[in-house]
Amino acid sequence: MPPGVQAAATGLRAEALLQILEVTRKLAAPFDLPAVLAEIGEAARSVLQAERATVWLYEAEQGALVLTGTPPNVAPVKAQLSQGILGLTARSRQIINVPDVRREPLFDPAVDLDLNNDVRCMLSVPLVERSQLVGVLQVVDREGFAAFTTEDERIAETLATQCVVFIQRERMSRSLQQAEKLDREIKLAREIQMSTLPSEMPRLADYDMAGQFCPADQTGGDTFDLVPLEGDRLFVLLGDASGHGIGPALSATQMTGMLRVALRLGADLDAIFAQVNNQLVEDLPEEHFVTAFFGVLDTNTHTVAYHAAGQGPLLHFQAATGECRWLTPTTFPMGFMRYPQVDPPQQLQLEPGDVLGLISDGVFECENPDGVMFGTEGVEAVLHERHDGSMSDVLARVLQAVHVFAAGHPQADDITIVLLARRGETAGRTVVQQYFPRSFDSLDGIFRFIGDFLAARSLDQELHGPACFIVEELFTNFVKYNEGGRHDISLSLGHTPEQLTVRITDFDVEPFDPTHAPAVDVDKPLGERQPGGLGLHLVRQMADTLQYEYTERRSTITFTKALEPG
Amino acid sequence: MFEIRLNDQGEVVMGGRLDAAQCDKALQFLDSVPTPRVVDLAALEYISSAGLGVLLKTQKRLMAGGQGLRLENANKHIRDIFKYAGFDRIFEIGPGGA
Repeated sequence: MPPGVQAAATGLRAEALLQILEVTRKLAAPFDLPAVLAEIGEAARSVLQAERATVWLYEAEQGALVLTGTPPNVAPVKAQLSQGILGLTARSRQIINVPDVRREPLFDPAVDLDLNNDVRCMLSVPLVERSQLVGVLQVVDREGFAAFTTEDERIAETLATQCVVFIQRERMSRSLQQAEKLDREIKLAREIQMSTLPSEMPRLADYDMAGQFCPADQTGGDTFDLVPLEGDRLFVLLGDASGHGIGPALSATQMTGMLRVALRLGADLDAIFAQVNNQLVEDLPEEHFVTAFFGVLDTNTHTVAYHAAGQGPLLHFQAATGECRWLTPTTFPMGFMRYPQVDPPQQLQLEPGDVLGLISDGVFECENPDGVMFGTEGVEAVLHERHDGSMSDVLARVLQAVHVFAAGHPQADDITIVLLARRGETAGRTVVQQYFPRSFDSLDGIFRFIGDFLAARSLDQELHGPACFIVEELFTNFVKYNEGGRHDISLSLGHTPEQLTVRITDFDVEPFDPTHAPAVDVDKPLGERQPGGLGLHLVRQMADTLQYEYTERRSTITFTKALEPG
Repeated sequence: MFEIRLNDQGEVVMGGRLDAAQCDKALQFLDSVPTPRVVDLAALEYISSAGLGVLLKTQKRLMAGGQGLRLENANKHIRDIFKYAGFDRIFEIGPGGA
């Protein structure tokens, strides 16, 4: 029996209609659910001249009907949809008119308003909106136990229709209020998150840097930090906490806080990385995690030692080749579990003009209206064109490119970018750098690299042979004596008007010092000579200067050759 | 690119770049020639210490039988290396090349 309000309403008696309108007017005022329900109950009781009338609300999450009792300190009464006439009304979405409950086997005194064991007749009316169950209006007994009439059914249905409107309005405004409260809380968490960001960029010789955080409307847990350390070093952090709502913003804030405290206590990179992770494991809800880059830049050696926990790809723009390398994370995200062991940090060498870019996935995953992602290509395009500019300019252009790409599609996630550039070539000194896979097959590329460098700068071509000889010897030694090595080998070439400087670096290795290799007596007869050692002997003969450095499991050999004037 | 072959006179001719990646090829070839006598290096642009090792090993084999290699027409860079390496005391070094 569908409500059919309009058709039924025309048949209502004038008195009832007036009363219903009065109820409607009253209901327009209160904004709080118990008051609304009490008004509806009272109106139904009054219009239908009944003993009692009550509204049960359907709680979809519990799958039950709930009677919110007055006084308010009484716990709500719950009824299952399987119970009594009440339950049948809810299940059938039909009005049920019972003249005498004593003859109705479905009647259940526990739920059917039989407070004093004296109920006789009952009208049970479903409250339904767009086929969704909202609740049940139950009206019981009237003077003289006269059964409810067909007209009473229509009146009750009309009243029910009004009830639904007011209940829904109240529920909607309640959820709106909650959303507003949540909005305020998110806004507050965001303000705290923003306040932990560095207010200005640190100043470091030979380096230019820029960092920016662009929050999305609702969710996101990005953060970054740049903290100058003793010894011309800089701690670099970028973090991205997963999840929605306030949580990520707080996680990001927490991480920055822990980091600052740890730095103040003088902890080193590996210890901070492990400790912050352990703390996040304890604090974060199970399904949450944080991807993060923890790095220390040494501005004297121009190396970055880093851990990248699920944070990637990392951008390494190489000025020597004009190419962007995209580096992968070194381990899984933080907050899942304690790291079984913290491997030594990865090492990255920054040559003049190189850029290290830490970019949160809000950039790569920015979607345009066609659902296409910005990706790494979008970043590369800006770098190729603008890498010579200031980092704040490059950063602004990347953000602009993202904005243009999105074409009005809303920003779904926080966007954070930190760019760190070693300043480019300075007067009288040029340097190029390239990585080569640790294989003898790299030799051809190495020779070309050296040849191109000398030719492009019109340097003495006579140097090509000796330079190649020395580099090959050092490179093949690195390959041979660090067989399990995972890192490419870095080769950089520089010159002043007076000399050529060549530097070759191998990462995460045991020491290998060619300057202390035993001397070879080349005057010995052949039968007594061992071929091994000859190469390094020749390297020492051919190089004008030869230096060896070993720091943080990194072997660097630097040699020079004088350049002929002119 | 590295090239090694015998010419009409039965001399070993090397060309290109003899680096660590090529020395297996060079050694295999030299081992396949019973008694190489002359190695013409006119077309050899570059030799690394690994290449020197190949020459040394071959020289040892030949000297055991009272023979030896004569290295001819090496360019200046390679002649410098021979000198640094003391090869002029072990090998017969022929006239230099370009």
